[in-house]
Amino acid sequence: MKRQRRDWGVSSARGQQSWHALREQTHKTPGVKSLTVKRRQIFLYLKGALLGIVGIVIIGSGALWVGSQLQEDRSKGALADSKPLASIRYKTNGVLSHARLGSMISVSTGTRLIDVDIHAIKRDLESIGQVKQATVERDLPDTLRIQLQEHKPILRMVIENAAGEKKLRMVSRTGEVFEALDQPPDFVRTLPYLGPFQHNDGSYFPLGDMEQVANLLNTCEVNYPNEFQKWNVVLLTRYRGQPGLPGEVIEVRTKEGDSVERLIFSASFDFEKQLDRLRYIREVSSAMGDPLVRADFSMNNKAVVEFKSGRNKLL
Amino acid sequence: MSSPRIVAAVEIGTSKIAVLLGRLDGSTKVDIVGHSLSTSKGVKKGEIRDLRAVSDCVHSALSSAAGKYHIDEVYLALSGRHLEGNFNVGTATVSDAASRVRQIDVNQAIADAKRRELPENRSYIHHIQNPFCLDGKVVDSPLEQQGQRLEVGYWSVHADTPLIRNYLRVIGGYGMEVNDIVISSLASGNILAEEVEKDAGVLVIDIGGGTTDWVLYRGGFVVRTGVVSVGGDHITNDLCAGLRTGQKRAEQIKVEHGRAFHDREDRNEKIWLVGDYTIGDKEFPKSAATQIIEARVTEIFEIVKAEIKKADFYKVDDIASGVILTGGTARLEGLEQVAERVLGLSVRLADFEPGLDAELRRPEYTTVIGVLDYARVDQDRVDQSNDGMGILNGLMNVLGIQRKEASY
Repeated sequence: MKRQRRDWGVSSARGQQSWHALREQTHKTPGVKSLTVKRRQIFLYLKGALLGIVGIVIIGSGALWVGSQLQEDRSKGALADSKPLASIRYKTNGVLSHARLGSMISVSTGTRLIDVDIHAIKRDLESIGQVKQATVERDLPDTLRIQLQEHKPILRMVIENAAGEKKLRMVSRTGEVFEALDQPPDFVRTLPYLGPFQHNDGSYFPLGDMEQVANLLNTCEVNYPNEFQKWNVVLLTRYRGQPGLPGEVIEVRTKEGDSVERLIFSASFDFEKQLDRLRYIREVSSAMGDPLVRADFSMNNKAVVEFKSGRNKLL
Repeated sequence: MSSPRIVAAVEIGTSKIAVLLGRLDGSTKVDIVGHSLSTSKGVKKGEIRDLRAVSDCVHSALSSAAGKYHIDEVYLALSGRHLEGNFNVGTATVSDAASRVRQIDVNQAIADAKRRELPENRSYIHHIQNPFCLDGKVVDSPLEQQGQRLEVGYWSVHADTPLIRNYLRVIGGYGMEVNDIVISSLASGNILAEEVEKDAGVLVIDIGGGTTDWVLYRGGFVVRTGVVSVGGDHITNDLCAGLRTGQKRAEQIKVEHGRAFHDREDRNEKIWLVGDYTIGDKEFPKSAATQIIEARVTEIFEIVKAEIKKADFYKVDDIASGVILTGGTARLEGLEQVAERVLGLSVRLADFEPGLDAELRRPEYTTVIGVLDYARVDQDRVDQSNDGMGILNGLMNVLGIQRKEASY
């Protein structure tokens, strides 16, 4: 039998000075979390993280699938849109002419753009020593876009092949040695020759840390252009490409008329200071009327200077 | 009908933590879907002393009761000596020319009854309404009746603010907010006393571990509530001291051999102190235990009687339905006899709603069952309020306007 009971009505105090006001205040201060709650939170966190990972995997897989479908659709669309190759657009940061590049790549006009093997073209172009990097793109419906980055020469050198034939090659600041193609002859003439370091096995390659050599040349060309014009040969016979080591020097030979000067720069010290000292030595030489024969800056604070008269000085 | 909600009724007692989980679906029925009863730590005489320890126990009890369910709301039972009350009478002069009571007069009387300011660090828990009187006569509903002066009494229960804050922090640590607080005596009383008993007058006494909560009904209304800071644990402590034994054994003696009153025959009956009959164990007469228990139980009822007398409500004829005893200590043999002798009223032990799960038919669950019932009634109010104000509330929320809460 069910007990007879009326609903008692809610007598909770509300309004002024009610405990309900405390609920709002306490809501702002954190409650005391027990180990049970912390465990539950960690469990929920891990569960959430796991679900999140699963979700990401599912979404990622879905996105990949959709992406592949789109790619496929795009390829199909591209195939449908593709027309015979009409033009090739070149863009380079160097000097290679379009005509030369055209002769280097094996694409015949009339080939459908979609059938052009852009990977083969890239390979062909990057096989040219002067080309640092090539980018080949199809520009639908009928254009091939080629972008090139070329090595810029800082020195030139003469090499001799097995048959005794001599050939002129360029050297970039990264040490690449390549055949000069379409380089303006006036520019090539300004480049000093390079006498490389000979390794123990008798070989000259690879060239060690040409970056430091390029810095010396660049500092001179920018700050003392007249001096740079005199620089004829850069000899690296005592430079293995390890500027931190003692005895690593870069020798420059100048040629003015019949006189040849030997300038020996330390690869370890500040080139600006060494070149400033050279400027001073030239002033002294001029004032003395005694031409310079040799200046060695490898001692850092002083340069050992030898004049044509046979006098030696520390300047 | 609203969507089902899982409501947890929580009682943080001195010796145990009871949690009852019910599913409310807007109907008058409550489906009990989980419960747990665990040992309490960090509570003394119904007041939190160690927040961390209490949090550990409560959160563990909540998790254990919740099982697979997600708790939506928490209702909390509150006890402790810090609970106090005051009775306030609000008056209103009937403003209608024809001297008919209108809603505005009722509202004014109610507001007048609730306006008493509390000292700092006290917060109201309940404003329990007593009957309306019109020109000194009790009326069921004063609206449209003729009269000059309307009066209404409210028994307002208030508690220590920092202690309430601690309770809120314990539940807050579980990631929940307390929806409402119900004092334990009210929760137990409402669930145990029948309406005819309330009308005739009945005293419900809930003897817990650290406190004894009581509520007095008269004429169908709650006229007084109170908390005595003595409970079953004090009986155990007395036995510890009196029998010179440990807490655990003293509790065991109380449960297995204890009786609320002392009988002459108890001198002849022997009890083993430890019970393992080894060296050090010794026999003592049962009377040693029953005398101690009787003294403490008598004291509890005497304090309750004194409080009721002090409030001028101790009139045997006005408590015609007598006393209902509940709480863990109510299982002590002979408790009714002592209560009858001390209080001078007829006493019965609490019985439970037919159909209630056998496991829940224990005095320890009485309070939380009452709290869950309170949540059911409160749910109806929330649902009604939501039904009527749903769109308006939504609009106000969007506009960032806070609705002023009704003060009665």
